[in-house]
Formats: sequence, C-alpha cells, structure tokens
Amino acid sequence: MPVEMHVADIDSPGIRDEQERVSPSKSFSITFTLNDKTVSIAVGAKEVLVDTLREHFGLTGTKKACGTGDCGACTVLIDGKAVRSCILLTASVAGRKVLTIEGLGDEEHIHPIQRAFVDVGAVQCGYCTPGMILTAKALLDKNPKPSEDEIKEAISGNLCRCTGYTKIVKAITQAAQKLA
Amino acid sequence: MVTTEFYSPSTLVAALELLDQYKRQAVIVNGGTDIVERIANGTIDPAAIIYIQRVAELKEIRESDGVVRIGGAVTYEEVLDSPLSSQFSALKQAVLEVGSPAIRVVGTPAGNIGTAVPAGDCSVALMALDAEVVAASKQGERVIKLADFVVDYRRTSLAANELIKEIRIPVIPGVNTASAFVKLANRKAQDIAQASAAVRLTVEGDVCRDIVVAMGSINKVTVRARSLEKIIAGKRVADAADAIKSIVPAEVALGGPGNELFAARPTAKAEREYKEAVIGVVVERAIKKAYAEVLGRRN
Repeated sequence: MPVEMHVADIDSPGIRDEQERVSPSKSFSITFTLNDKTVSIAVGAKEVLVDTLREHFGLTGTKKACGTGDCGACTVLIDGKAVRSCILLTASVAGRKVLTIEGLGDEEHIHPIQRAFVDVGAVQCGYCTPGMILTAKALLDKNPKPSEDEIKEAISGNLCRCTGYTKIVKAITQAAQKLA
Repeated sequence: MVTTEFYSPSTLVAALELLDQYKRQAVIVNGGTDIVERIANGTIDPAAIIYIQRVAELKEIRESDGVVRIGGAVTYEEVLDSPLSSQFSALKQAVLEVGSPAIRVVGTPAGNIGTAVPAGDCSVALMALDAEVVAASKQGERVIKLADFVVDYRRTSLAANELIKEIRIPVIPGVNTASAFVKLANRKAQDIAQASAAVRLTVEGDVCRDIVVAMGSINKVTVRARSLEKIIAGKRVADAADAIKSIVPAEVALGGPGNELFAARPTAKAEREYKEAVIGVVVERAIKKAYAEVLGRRN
C-alpha cells in the first residue's frame, strides 16, 4: 500500500501571515551619500538601514546579528559618527553621509585600521570586525591618540564572542600610531 | 489596510499639525533606539511615523531664568557636549551609563522620559534634579513635573496630540548642592539597570538640609523615594547614609496589584529579593557620591 508522505510546505502560511498582519509601508524616494557616492532610492517608511544596505545595495559587510541595537555588528558611520543601522530608519538618513566597511577599504586599497586588525590577529570569525573597525575609525577621527581606556569605552558597545578583545584593543592602538 | 507614512517635518508647527491629525495612530521617532526596534519587528504598527530630529526648535540647549532647557530632540551626546549640563552630575553620570557610544549619538533624554520604562537611567537622574516636562500640542503648551508625568509602565500623561518640547532643570543653586547617579547592572555597558538611584543633595556643614531621591527598576515606573527623603533630611550625611542602607523604601513595589507584568515573570521572586536587598545600598552610594562632590569643591 502506498504510504502518504507529508512534507512540510516551505511556502507555509505562518511567516506570510506574520508579515500581513503589519501594515505595508509607504514607498518614497530619498537621496543620501553612500561611501562618497550620491544615491537616490525608493525606501519604505518602516525600512531599517541595515536591510537597505544589505539587500538593496548588496553591501553585506554590515551584519545583522541581534537586530535590537545591542551588539554593534551593524555599526555604520553617519556623518562620521558610529551608529546602529539595525534600529535606524533608512528614511532618516536623507541628506546624510553614510559610510560602510566597504567604503573604508578593501583588499586593493586597505585602510590602516583594517591592516592593523589583520597584522595583529584581531580577526577570528570576522563577524564583529566591520563594526569594530568603523567604531575605531570614528574614535580616531575625533581622538587621534586615545588611551587604552578611551579605546575600551569607544568599543564598549561592540560585542566580540571570539577574541576576548585584547587583540582588538591592540589593533586600534597600532592603527592610531600608524595614522598619527 | 493602512499604509504607514513617514514624515520628517522641519518645524515644530508642522510636527504638531501632523500629530494633531494622526493622534495615537502616529508614533514620534526621536532617536528611535527603543521604538524603531519595535517598529522593525512589528510590535507596533503605526499609521504614521513622525521623525522629529530635523525640527530645529527642538535641538536647542539654553539657560534662562534659572532653568536649563533641553530641547525635545537633543541627543545624549549633545547633552554631554554642552557646557550647560556640566553642573548636573547626576545627569552626566546617567547619560554615560546609557547603552553605549553608538546609542548615545542618536538617543535622547526626551525619548527616555517618553518611553516611560522604570529602568530609564536618564529619567531617574532628571527626577532627582526636579525636572519638568513641557508638553506641546497644536493647542498650546503645558508644564508637568516629571514625577507626575509617568503614569504607568510605558504610559505618560501626554495627550494623543502632544509631544515633549523641552525638559527644564532648575540650575544647581550653589556650592553646597550636588547630584549623583548610581546604576547597578550586570555589565559595564549596554545593559539595563537592576536597581538605580539618583539624588540631589544640599548640605549645611555636614548636615543634609534638603534631598531629592529618585529610584529606578524597583517599581513599574521610576519613583521619588519620598519616604527616604523624610528620613534623611536634617541628619548628618554620614548618619543618614548608614540609616537608609538596609531599608526597603515604601516606594519599592515589585508584585502585587497593578504590577502583574513583573509578578508574571518566572524570575520575579528572585529579582524581588535581590532588588529589595540592594536598593538601600544603591541610594546610600548615590548620597555619598553627591556628598563627595560637595566636599571636593571645598578643597
């Protein structure tokens, strides 16, 4: 006798229902500067910046880890200041300058802070790294000769589960010396 | 089904007009560090988002008539950078304990008050500093003492078409008055207070002439510890601090009618025992911290 196999329907209504209970967003256009280029895109009223960066622009260097603004993996710079892109409405960055890790440097044009992280061995899984590097950039732009305590205070909102932070602090110290 | 709109008014008049139109169907996004998370995960579903960071009138910090006025859209970082706030040690100390640097760049004291959760560090400090809130609507303005402003967990006395225009703090009158904030939390940053306290202390010699005490995370709202204030006033500071160290103030309320939200938590009993055990010590530390500031000025 044939046995009926019930395979879970991957298009199951559960998740869709969840999304349908929430109102759709009005879509409208905003213009801002992204990694030194002017961009104009359509955004939703409730869209958050980390999703826009990752999904619209394909800039996946910015990570969405906790989604609640507590871990720092989503850190980007807005007008030079480190902020949490997972709890920031994209619509609110109209007219502002956004910098992601991709805008700071890459393999061909490595930024001294990135170089220091690599040289010191401050990268393990790499998930906290873009947030840490951008936070370091915001710090060093404002305070080129930070003390160890000032570095620790600056990264106090960036969680790392791998390194124990010692190498990260060392990398930022080294970058500060290089940039001075 | 409604489509959520986004507005970014650049004047207070425009913001108040929108708020009057939408009333409770709209949410104010200020710094957004609490509310945007709730929007993003669908906990709240507004018909309109009114983003107020571009309203210039709400971005001012100024002093007049013996009062420092902090605009409703001023961020924590802007408070720290302003010379007008340096006299309010409790406020500076509280702001430095909020979240982490990235949160302080966008978060706001007004948002902290408006969110009305008992662990709000800034709210506790502002309550001890005897702050007032100016609520504005299309119809006009009214001034509400902070202690009367929060009515329940996540509920303030703001009308449906009102927003917080300004926070007013009476200036520190002289060298014999100082304030302090103490927060007990598991982590040094990015954590919520288990128990917190702020005081504003005025001394004459080594005797406490006047004290305002506020406490956080020990009730469904931030509260004035008026019962402690009565015990402390008139005593030598050192004696007063010792006296209140092991007291569980009457304003601590964890469980019981009206506090079902807390009582329903599986850890409620342990939390209650812990908080009742530590709150007196937290207040004592705040008193000693404020007193140390007064003594420091004398040297």
